[in-house]
Amino acid sequence: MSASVVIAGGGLAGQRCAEALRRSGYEGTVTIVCGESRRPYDRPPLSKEVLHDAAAEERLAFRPEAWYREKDVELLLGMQASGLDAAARTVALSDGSSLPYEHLLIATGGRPRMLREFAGFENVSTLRTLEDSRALRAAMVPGARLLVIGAGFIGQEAAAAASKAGAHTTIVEAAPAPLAALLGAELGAWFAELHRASGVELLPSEQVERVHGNGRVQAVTLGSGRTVECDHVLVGVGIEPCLDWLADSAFGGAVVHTDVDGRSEIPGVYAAGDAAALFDPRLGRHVLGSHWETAGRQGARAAKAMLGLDPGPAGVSSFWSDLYGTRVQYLGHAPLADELSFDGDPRSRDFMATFTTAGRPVAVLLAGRPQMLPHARELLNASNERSQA
Amino acid sequence: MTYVARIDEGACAAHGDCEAIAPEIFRVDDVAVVIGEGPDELMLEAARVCPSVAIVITDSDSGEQIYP
Repeated sequence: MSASVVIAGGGLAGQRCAEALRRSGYEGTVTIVCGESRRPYDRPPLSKEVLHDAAAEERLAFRPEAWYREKDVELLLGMQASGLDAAARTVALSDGSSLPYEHLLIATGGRPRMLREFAGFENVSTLRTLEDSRALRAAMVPGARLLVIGAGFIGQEAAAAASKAGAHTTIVEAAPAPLAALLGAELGAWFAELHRASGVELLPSEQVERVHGNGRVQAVTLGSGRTVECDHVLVGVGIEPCLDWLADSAFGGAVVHTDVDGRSEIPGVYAAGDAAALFDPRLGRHVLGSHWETAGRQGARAAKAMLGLDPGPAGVSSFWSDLYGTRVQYLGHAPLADELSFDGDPRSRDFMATFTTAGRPVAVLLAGRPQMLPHARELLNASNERSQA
Repeated sequence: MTYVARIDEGACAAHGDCEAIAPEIFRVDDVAVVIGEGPDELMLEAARVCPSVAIVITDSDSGEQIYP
């Protein structure tokens, strides 16, 4: 078998895997199978600057075209992995051909969930790709009425961008507050206030009961009986992993569970990013999907594991967001906590919230205090060491 | 130009914002590396924008840590 790595999926995890392979001196062939027809690019800006600045699109690509030539990384653009024969170690491709591999990274990512009641309407979008971001930008004109379903990060960032663009924005959320399941009621209320202070209407504890319109959504009626009129709808209710192509494989299309370094149970097959469920030793269980930083690290760590190198420590789970000019950063696992304490005024946009369980820090949320991130990281790492000692 | 930048490699997640802001000072591979010098303010701006807060700025005259 010749030395070759096939990376199924051209997102962040796949890109970082290719980079780490070459940086580690790997000389075999490296092929990235990219479902989209453009070079691997960064997605976080799609719900941030790209929504109000078309010029920001030019900065999305991870690497210039020349990088792939110089590093001898082959990009199969507009091609999808369509099947896996783990016994023969080949990946089937959407053009009918197949690729042999020594190591395979499953990094096919996720696709946005669509709610059944909104399917098929032309003024309804989700947000995952550059095309999605362009469509949403076009809908965010001054005076337009944007309805956002779901107050997760995508919905909240899109609402912030829409309000900046002068669109009238309404967010409908099933939970009592944004991110309440993750961060609890108090911080959920803080996020809710961020939106309201900028003129975005947030309707919590609401469900969509009925969609009105023919071809285009004109209004929705909510569980409370209230009707909201709209020109465009963004559905931001999470993603599901893209694993259909593995339906006939040894994985059976189920979520790919791996060890902490991304190794699956099948020899030579690794997984990273939104399509993977890596084992998290801090939680003692597998965790599906990941935020940006984690996905990138997982891709790089899988590359090192393929080469028999030490991938190093896994790092603390984290995410960040920019909402109405306030940077929000989060580290750790808040649902483990039994207590929440604040340094700074929790009603301001300048505080550090620390989640503890039995007095031990398990998560931190920073609002408007980016310079505190290293401190927060040390706090959690020290706390982890203490718990493992 | 008295500021000096250092990358905390354990913290850097290769976001790439520093290279976008100051390509003559930073280049991003697996992690960011400092490749040159530049105006203090530009260096500080890159450090402030870094989502991972992985850029540590020190004043080489006074030895004082400027950021974070």
